[in-house]
Amino acid sequence: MERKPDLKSERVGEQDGQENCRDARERLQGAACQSRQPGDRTQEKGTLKPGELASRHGVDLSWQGEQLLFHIRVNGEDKKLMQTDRTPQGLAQADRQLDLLVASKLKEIESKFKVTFSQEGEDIEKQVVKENPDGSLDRGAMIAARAPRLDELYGIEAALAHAAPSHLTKDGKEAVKFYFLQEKFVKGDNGTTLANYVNKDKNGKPAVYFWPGSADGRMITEADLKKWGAPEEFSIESLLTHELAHNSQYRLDWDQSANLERFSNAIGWAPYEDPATHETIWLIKGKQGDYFKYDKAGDDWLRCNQQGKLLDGAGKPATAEKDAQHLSTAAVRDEALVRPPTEYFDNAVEMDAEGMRMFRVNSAQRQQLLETSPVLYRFIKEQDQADINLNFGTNEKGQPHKIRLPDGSLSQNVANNSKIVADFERASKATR
Amino acid sequence: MTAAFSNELPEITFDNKCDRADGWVPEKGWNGLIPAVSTLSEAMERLGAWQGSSQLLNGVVYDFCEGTVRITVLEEEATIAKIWVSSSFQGGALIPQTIEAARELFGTLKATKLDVLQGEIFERPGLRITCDPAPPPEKVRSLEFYRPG
Repeated sequence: MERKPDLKSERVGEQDGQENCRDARERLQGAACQSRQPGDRTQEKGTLKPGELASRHGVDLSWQGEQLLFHIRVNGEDKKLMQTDRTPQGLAQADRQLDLLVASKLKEIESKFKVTFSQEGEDIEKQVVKENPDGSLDRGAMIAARAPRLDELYGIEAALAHAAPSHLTKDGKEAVKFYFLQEKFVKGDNGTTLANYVNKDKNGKPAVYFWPGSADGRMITEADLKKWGAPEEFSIESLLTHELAHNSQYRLDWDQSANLERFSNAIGWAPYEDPATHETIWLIKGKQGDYFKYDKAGDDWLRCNQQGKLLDGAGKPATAEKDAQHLSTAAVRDEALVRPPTEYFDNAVEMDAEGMRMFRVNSAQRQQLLETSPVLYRFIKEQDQADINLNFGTNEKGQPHKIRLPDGSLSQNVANNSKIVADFERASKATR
Repeated sequence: MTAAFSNELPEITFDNKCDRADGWVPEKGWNGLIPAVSTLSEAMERLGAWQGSSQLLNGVVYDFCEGTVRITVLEEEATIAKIWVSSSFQGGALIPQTIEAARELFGTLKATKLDVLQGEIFERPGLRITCDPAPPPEKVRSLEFYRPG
């Protein structure tokens, strides 16, 4: 039996080592870890560099001498995928095998969850262009899609397991489609958008658009983040769980204005009509009975009174925004009557999506939500159950057939499982 | 707050096609109701009794026609501030159902915003229209009429 050499995983540059594309992005800027460019798949196939190959498929790379090992860190494990010679033939073989792995995982997820994925070169929709002086939008060139990578598929799979049945359409017959954009959805956007949800894609179905580079350098699941990542990061799984929460909102008719009002009120937001533009603006309520209005231009918040009028630092009416008291997002989060679960709460819709994400992604974050924002936790739990009931229904006594356990999975609503949830909630101590 | 539900809706006479020589302007309002001119009582004469209401920080929104029309009255003002109309009002027969049809009726409409739930928003002074973001032709979801400042 041929003895295979042990593979090292050290970072030693050109010698034996590990080229983890997720960590090496900065070092290999413009080379191995660059986001896929249109045509990469068909050009230079015979001259692929190992790092480029790994990056293209969303996997990690280690080597010893002339042996390459492709692996992937997912669900807290470092999973070996294949080993090959560091030759053009070996790389070509690895490319083919990785393609097969991607195809196989894609088919598995489609079959299990009914979701679908964009294909290489598929049209998505025309790019949004924000270049007019009056701020109006135009539509530019058609954005093309690419096929998903293996890390993305694993992250999506993990999210779907905890977000079900939010990935389904309202009637349960179809599911969300995932598109991987080759260009940003909004041209020239220099913000931090990684993905966005739309409730109607070109086929009139709900979809999630992954922006270019959104998964690059990112841990796949929360388990991987805990083991190898930094606390301030978030995983592909977490990103997707947030976007699927928007589909949950759509399934629960948040897009109907009366519902949006009711749900937003329940989590500490109130509507205000701007007398100048007659837009309905949402203000978040403070513990002292005052309100805060988000100022997108300054990325901060303005203090307002109970009629929605601006206040200065002394609590007196202010006629202009520049004279009103400005507060940071962190300060408003502390002052809010219903504490936003994270610092992403431009409006009630995003605050709810963040809460839903924490409720579903794992028990640690669900516990954190319960302890730091119990009012929001109760609301999210009701919304989540209403979402589950859309597809799994209730019995003759109105009790749900399925409930969500603390780890995010769905299970039968039986005494044992109810007790698991009750014990989990009893053990958590509210800090607010 | 709720008012008595009326089963008898006054006849709606909204003219779906404006005189092209004039075009639509904010002063024409919608369905004989003009923001900053018409009162809530006049709205009730046109639409029947309101069936529910919700509070704003600076006013009240009244629901008519099973929620397909919502009228905002701001505090300290005697007239209607805004009229919101769902594309499903009266079964959709009287409302432009696509952004292209809306442009024929209301003139130039510019896309101004994309909202995660409301879709794509088109505007001209005095009018705000929400549409499905795709597929084209974008389907109208709602219209808002107001008097521009």
